[in-house]
Amino acid sequence: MYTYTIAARYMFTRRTTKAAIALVAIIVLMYLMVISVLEGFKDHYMDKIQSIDAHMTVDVGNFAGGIVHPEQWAGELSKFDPGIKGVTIGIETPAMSIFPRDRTIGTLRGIDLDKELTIGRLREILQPPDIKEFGVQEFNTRKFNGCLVGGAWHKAFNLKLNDRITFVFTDDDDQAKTVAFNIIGFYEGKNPFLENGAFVDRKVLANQIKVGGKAKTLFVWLKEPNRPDLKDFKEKLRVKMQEIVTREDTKLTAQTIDAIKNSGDPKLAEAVLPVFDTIDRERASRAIDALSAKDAPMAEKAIELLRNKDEQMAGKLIATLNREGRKNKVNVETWQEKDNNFYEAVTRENLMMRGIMGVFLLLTAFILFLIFDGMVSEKIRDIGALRALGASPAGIQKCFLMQAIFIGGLGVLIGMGLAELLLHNMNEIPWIRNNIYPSDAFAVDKIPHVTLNYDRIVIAVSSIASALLGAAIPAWRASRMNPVECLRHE
Amino acid sequence: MSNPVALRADNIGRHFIDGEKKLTVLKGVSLALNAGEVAALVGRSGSGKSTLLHILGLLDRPNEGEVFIDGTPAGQLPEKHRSIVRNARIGFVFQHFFLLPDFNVFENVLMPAKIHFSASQWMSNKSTCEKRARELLDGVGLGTHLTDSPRTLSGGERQRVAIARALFLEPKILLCDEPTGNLDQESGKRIMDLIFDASARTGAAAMVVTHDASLAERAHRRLHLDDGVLKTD
Repeated sequence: MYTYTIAARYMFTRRTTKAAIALVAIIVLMYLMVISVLEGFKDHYMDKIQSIDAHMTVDVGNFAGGIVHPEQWAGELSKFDPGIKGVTIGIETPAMSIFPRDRTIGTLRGIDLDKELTIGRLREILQPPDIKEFGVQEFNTRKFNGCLVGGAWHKAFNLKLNDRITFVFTDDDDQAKTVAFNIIGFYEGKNPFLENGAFVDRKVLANQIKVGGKAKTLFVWLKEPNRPDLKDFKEKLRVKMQEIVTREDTKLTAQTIDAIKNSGDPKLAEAVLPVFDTIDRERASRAIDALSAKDAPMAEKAIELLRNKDEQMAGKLIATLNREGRKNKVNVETWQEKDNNFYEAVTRENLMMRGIMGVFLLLTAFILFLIFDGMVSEKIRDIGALRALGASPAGIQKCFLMQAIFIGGLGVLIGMGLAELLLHNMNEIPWIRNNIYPSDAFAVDKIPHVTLNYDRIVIAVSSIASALLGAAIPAWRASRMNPVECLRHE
Repeated sequence: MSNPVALRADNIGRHFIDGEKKLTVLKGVSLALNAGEVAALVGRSGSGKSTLLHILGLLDRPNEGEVFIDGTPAGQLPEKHRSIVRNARIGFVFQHFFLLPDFNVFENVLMPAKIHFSASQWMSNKSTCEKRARELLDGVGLGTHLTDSPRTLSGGERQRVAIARALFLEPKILLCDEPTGNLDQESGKRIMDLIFDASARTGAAAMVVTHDASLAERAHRRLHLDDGVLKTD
């Protein structure tokens, strides 16, 4: 019992212990402030990323029209797992964008606006917020399809509603296209990093790129984008999508073989069918499809050569088919991977800051060591008296270790209380708003903060541990003191 | 029939090593103290009185010989057990009082009980202990100083607190190292009265180290320590 009594009393009667409590409180306050604000910013920017970019994107090979049956496949994926909120369809192309007074380069994305508004989070960042369709607008007898422009372009080029924007890009035949759109709105989540681009109607863009009813990407929206098993879920999704693509490939292969068999040309069948027997039929089928789509005359020529039983060329065709076939794989990317540089930077910054705070905790342990060492020297006569009264060496050691726990615990409570108070009121303090996190530099209206329970536990445990670490050697020294020498100590 | 032996020392030897020099402080000291007996230990400075007292009180270990507390050898027990024996069986009164300055008078007297009991035991014995502490402090005339800091008390008052503290767990052995050494004659007499009274009342064997011949005269027995050798009157 005496260990608690002694520890508690020494804590409130010594100035040095009050200083130790203040030191721990300051470390806890600093740690929680810094980490909470960093987490807040991380959360804020991640939220912005998630509001524009889908949580997972699915592509097939590098084909502009790799998603052969977008609606059907999107439907299948939506029902694949209860964690999926929905799947939207998109196509993308890099484009030069010409504004009334300026020009730049960015991404032109074709989307289904109605689905993006209901499944995605576009509605949250849309200006004006009541836009429901891209529509077609007529100006001086000319008709323009509507488009939505990113906040970065909006700000940088001083764009206004109903300004014209002309995109220059290449179609699937590598032919240059120039298409003008009318600006019907802006999407701006105050994240310039992601808002260099424009959205137009998918079907309009698909026609321009010449991919017909196919699409480039499926955008998967999750109910919980920060789910801890995101990587595992990505693999699950990739396997499912591969299954869909394989099924489609097998179907295509069968259709191709049937077409060859039914062509009535026995020589063609004789020449081509072994090709399908020697290589992966699924990949061959996809490759022929791709080869035909990209360069139909060459494909025809190849088949013609096969028809003449040119073994050498047949070999070359097989190689070509294999090469094409290898591209035919499903790529799934999470939002973290897509914005990997940014995500990694923020994550590493948080990690680094935690490391720095760890060093501060070690310094605290060292200062507490000096405080406890001084206290033990100051209390030698008390130690002698306690030993004469029957206190054991372990009991003496426990007195100081208990005091360390009290100092750490009280410091944690005070530090956490002050941190909560400051975190919730820092936006009201002009000095912090203007000097530490100016809103224009950080693109935030308010300084964000998120205090994770994990961080609360880590700082509480490590503060108490550092107090214990600081007290360990002095407490051990106190326990090893000869009671007779303590009683004789002047 | 004489009282049982509360404290016995058999052939105690104690030396200290200082560099290459060996300094022998106690040479084959043997003694026995009966319950209720008060013995005065006298001798000139440096004769080994305090060393002997520390060995008898299990604060120090002899190089030779054995100490028996209530007939049980205790000199070579592990430190943890020696602490338990010291807490339950031995009460110390020192010349310099050794009160804990961060605790008030009442808390100082309660300290042996707090060392004795675990936290849960303390909770169930708290009121009994507090009652006993008040009684003891009343007994030494300090019933009105419970919340005073030891720093505000006179030397005599401090020593009375130390006696109350030493008697709290009703020890079988009371070891007093020049308890009147820092006090005036009147206060010294009062302290000795308290020690004699406590010994008679509780049956504790008391050994009092003193330089004061008149106080030594009051003891039931006088032990002389001369150059580490014990002689009895």
